[in-house]
Amino acid sequence: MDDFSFELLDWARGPGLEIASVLFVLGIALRLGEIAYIGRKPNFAPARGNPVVQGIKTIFTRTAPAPGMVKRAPAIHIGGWIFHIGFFVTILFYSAHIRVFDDWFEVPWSRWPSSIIAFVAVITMVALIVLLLTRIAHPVRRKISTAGDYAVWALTFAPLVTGYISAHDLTDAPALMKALHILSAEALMVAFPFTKLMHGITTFVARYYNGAIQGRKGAKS
Amino acid sequence: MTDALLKNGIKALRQQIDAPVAAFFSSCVHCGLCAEACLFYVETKDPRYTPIYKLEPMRRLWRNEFTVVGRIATWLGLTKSITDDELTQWETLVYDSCTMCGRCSLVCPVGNDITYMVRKMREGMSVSGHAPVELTEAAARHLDLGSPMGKLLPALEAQVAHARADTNIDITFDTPGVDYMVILSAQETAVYPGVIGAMAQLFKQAGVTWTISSECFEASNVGVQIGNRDLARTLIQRIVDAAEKLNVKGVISPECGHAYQALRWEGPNLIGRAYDFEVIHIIELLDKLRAQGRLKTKGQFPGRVTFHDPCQINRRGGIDAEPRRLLNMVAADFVEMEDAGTWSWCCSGGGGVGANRRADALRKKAFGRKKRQLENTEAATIVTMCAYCHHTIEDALEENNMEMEVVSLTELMAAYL
Repeated sequence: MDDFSFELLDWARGPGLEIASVLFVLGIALRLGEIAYIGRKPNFAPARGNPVVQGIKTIFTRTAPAPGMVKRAPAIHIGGWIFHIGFFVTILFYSAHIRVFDDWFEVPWSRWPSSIIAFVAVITMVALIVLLLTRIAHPVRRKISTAGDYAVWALTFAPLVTGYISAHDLTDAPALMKALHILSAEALMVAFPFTKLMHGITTFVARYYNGAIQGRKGAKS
Repeated sequence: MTDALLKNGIKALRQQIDAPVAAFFSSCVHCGLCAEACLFYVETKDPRYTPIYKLEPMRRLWRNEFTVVGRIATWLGLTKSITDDELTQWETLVYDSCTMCGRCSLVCPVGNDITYMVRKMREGMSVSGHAPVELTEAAARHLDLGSPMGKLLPALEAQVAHARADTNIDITFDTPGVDYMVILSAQETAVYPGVIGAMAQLFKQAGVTWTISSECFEASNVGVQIGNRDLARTLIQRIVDAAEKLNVKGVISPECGHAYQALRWEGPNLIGRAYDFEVIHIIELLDKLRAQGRLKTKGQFPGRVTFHDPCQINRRGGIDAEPRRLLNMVAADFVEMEDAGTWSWCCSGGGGVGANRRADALRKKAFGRKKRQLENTEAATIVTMCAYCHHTIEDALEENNMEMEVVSLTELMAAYL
């Protein structure tokens, strides 16, 4: 068992990570290429506003919720914000991850105390569970949910829970748990370009287009 | 027959998919927040009215044909094609429960312009024979007789004669070389013709020369509402030909939301070139004349008034401050409704919904939001700048036994010259 765990861990840290990284980068390039390839027709209507400026502005402004929307859907907004921030904090500021970044990029990186990272990881998982419950319970979210939504939820939750268990030595098989954690992160990377996770990149394109369409008319976005 | 229609409809839909559509579908996380901005969902709580759900057939077409993974899945026989039955089910979602008001496009956190996509989805629906019968009939009348209400030239000539008599101002047809060619929505010509005399008075004071083309005076565009580019292009081309024949500097888009959207924003793209003249909305022009000191008013409306923002002119058209500057000139007690301006709620009749009898009950229910907001203002008068909003609200006021009157902003301005 131990041999298997260490072999799996070595594979996950070595070839597994390389394969996942290549698929992640090529997949994103492919998906962005698909959008660019379709293209769009020129717009002959004389502009009332500046589409480019408003497109760029909307990339940032759309991050804030629309007026009154937090009150209308508090769980989605608050849960969404906590999840997104928490997820990136645990990835970017956990000491074990930073050691990997040091190897890759050789740039100084600030690390947060493990206790804070643990707290962030827990509230991030709670936020994810709340978001899952709203998906199951809310008539609108249930109606529009696909199998892919639930699969992506599981793929996102897995690195968090395996990472937490691994970081806190909560099992008798630390090497296996670490391997599972890395593999779950790699599964997330591979799935990223081909699922709704891709919104992490395309939302900037979508927001730009939304702002530019409205901006041309001099309308708000 | 149905197979051929379906094939053509899917082809039309395929032609509508562009980079923004691909970016929007790629970004959707199925959060459902768009439902909270939709008049039809918030007033009925029916999850089928979630805006992004209204686009499901189009999303699948994009996924199956415009992504590598989708194409592989299709090749392996793992995907579901669009069927005629499915489009029949979607008719009520795409036409009856969407006024293309654009609120969903403003709230989407990933930036999806859902309204932009509903407009495109209607192209496939219409070509595949799934547009509401009233809109299809109106389209045929518009194409054959010049307006969605049929042949309106005799009525227009009579209304112009009345306006001449009322104002003592000469209103001409087919005068070349003037500043502007005025076009009117059928609703104005047939139901609210007072706007003709009002424009005559306003333009006389401001020194603006104008005329009406007897060959093309209809502003509305059923092609845009129904989602038929060929029809929309033909109707736009008629206006362009008339304006270029008269050699005018500009065309005034009247108080009609979708007409403004069609002529100002879609038109050049439908005909594939910029116009040789400017297109300006009547309220935009009046505000410009005000700023130039060419439009001056005397006195003010005595009662409390509120203002209804037509979605296609404000939220989707950018004309927001202009009507308010004008209204403040002539209304002593102007109060805004809750969510006024960009976030205004639709009158519930736009985008062809008001003409679609199948949607009557739903439209009436959807008006609930506007009803409550109107009552909260305690105003007796509602001013607006779209004849179809005017008509929809007037009908709804009657249906709800509300004692309020609806007034055109152009007519209100003319009353205080």
